[in-house]
Amino acid sequence: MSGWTLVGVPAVALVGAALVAMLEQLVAGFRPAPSGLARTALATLRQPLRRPETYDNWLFHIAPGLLLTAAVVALATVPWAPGFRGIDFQAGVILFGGALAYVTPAVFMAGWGSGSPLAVVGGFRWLALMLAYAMPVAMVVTAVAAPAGSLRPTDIVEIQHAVPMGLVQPLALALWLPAVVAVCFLPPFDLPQAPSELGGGAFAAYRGLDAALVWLAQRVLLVAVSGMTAALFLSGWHGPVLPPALWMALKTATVAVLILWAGRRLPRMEIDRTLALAWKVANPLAILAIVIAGGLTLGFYR
Amino acid sequence: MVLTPARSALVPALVVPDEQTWTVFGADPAAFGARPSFDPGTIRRLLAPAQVPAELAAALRAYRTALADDVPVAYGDVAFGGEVTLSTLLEPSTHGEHGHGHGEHDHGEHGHGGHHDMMAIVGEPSADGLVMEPIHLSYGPIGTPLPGGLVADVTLDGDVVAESTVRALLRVERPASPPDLLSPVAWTVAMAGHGVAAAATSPWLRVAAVEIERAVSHLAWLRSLGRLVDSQPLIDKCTRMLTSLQVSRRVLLDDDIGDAWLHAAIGQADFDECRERLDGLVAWVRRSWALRWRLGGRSVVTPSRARELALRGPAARASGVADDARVADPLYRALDFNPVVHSGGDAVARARVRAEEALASVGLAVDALAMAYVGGDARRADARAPAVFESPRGPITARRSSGTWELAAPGADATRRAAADAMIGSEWSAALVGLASFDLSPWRVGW
Repeated sequence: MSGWTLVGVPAVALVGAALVAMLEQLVAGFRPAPSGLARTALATLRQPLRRPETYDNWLFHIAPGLLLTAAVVALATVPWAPGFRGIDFQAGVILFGGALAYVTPAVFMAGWGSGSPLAVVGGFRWLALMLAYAMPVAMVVTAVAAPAGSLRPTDIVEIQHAVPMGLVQPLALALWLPAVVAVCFLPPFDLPQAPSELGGGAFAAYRGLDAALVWLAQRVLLVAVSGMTAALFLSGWHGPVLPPALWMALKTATVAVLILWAGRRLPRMEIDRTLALAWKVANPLAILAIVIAGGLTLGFYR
Repeated sequence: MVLTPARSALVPALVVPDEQTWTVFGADPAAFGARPSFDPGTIRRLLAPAQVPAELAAALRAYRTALADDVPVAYGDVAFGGEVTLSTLLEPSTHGEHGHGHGEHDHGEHGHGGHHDMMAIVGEPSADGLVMEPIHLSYGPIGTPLPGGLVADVTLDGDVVAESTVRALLRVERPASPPDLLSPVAWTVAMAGHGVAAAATSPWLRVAAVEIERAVSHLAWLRSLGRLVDSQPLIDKCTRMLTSLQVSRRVLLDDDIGDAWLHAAIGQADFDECRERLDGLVAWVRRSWALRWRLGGRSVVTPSRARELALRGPAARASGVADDARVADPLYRALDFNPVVHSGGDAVARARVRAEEALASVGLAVDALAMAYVGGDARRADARAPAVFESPRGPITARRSSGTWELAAPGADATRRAAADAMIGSEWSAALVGLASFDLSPWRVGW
């Protein structure tokens, strides 16, 4: 952590969120319009805050801030280029997972605090989903860290200078991607808000600054998980000709577009079948991924 | 990928009563720059007819408090032919106050009175044995992918439906008007056989008009299902199909009938392209694993259960019961009509039946237009209106005796009961998919 962290990470978060918003328009088939986005953002910020009539409305107002904090801390662990990262922590990938873990209480607090029945259902769904998907994320992190012999993201990037981890461990990548999309509560895993089923669910009652913070946090989360995917599986900043940071940015944008595109193509997942898939398929396969990673480490990375 | 300027992006809107009704009436909310949104936080426009019935006005007033204060209101009105518009039909005539337009939806009683069709189904709490605090909630009557006026009151045990009540709130009180605005052409034609001014004077043309309405209705329903499960490919495919079908629909409902008109009808409608695209849609619905995964095994009604419940129409045909009033219609027999029947009995089967029926309906409309063009058997004695019409949701009957109408939609109550029943024991989103798959009407028929 350095002085850069306090300025650079929020700057990357804001610029990344704006770029993600434009990528969303691009994926939806519209020409990106930054001025329209700015108008929408200003209109949202001008709205007065809403105070739900529940005993726990303090939870309701804390949740957006907690969500954004979790997203920014997760983003800070992403290595963008040699010497260009927020927090170069020895156990950086664990910190990344730990930061994402705070998304779970934040979303549940939002649903519980707003007090409406469908918002509470959204919060319940989210808890169940995150219990099911936390283990695959943790185990996949272990699987990609094993060959590097380190939990530091920069070390994991360095060990991919020859071959991206996504090619070496495609199973881990296949488990990682849906799990991190679920953490971002993006379609097809937008289960806590599910507009057509829950009318906005956990976030339906947010207005003004609260709504803007939730919007921002979700996009920062997408930048963070896309960046970490690029770092852990797509050899991070490694690449010919272009500067390292540009390679990393391109790979991050590619992952973000892939996630947004899949969200538009696939119908929303159903919570009971998604949970069944997580517990019966994803978790056992994640254990298999660790076994494979162990074999690869012993055979090729020692 | 073809990029559209962001300026033309559709504005998320609360569509009242709902997108399906607007579409069946011949106008897509997209024509007003709106797309339905179900999250009050994202809604930036309210699209409503100038008149809203009392049953929806109170709900609309409540919903508006959840919207941002500066959400503009757009009043659109759509007509399905002649002077019959959504507004004139939504105007209540005998009971309850009604909210007038221009932002003053603040009259009327909430439509939760005891005189509505109520079908309360009570099931067992969740099988896991956990005792949870029950959550009571109402889904509808506006701001959902279901037709406006339909309400599901449920008790959730966790997120599993323990009790379910499905109500149809709306009723047209004007005599000699279509009593169900989700199939106005079918009702108009059914009533035309009994003395009301005919919308389609030739028997072949009535077949064409009713079949195009069936195709539009099924596709509008399929699109609303796409909105419920958030399947953008399904929404886009249905929207493209509906855009081309609406052209032929408008031509068919025109009063100016003659050879030149028929040329125009067949030429403008571009049915070949329609059929080709619909063929693609049917194939997509059949092979989409994502749709199968989402709908498969939801709200299963076995053939024996369908007979026991006296299900009619597409819901019965998706359960293997070949119930279709068109089989007995001589005009349809002349067109070699065969009903579409599937045996799965689940939400997938109901989607397939309606997608395939939409394709078959366009084919029947083309054949009927061809018969009308060559003057095929226009004087046949059996060209009289049949006693029972097959509307997009099942059989309907219209009789007039001693100056009063006897209108009925046999099977509508049974389908509502089956839909409520099928929600019990399902997780909330699965229950909603099951409920939507029955394509219930929010209009109560019969006096």
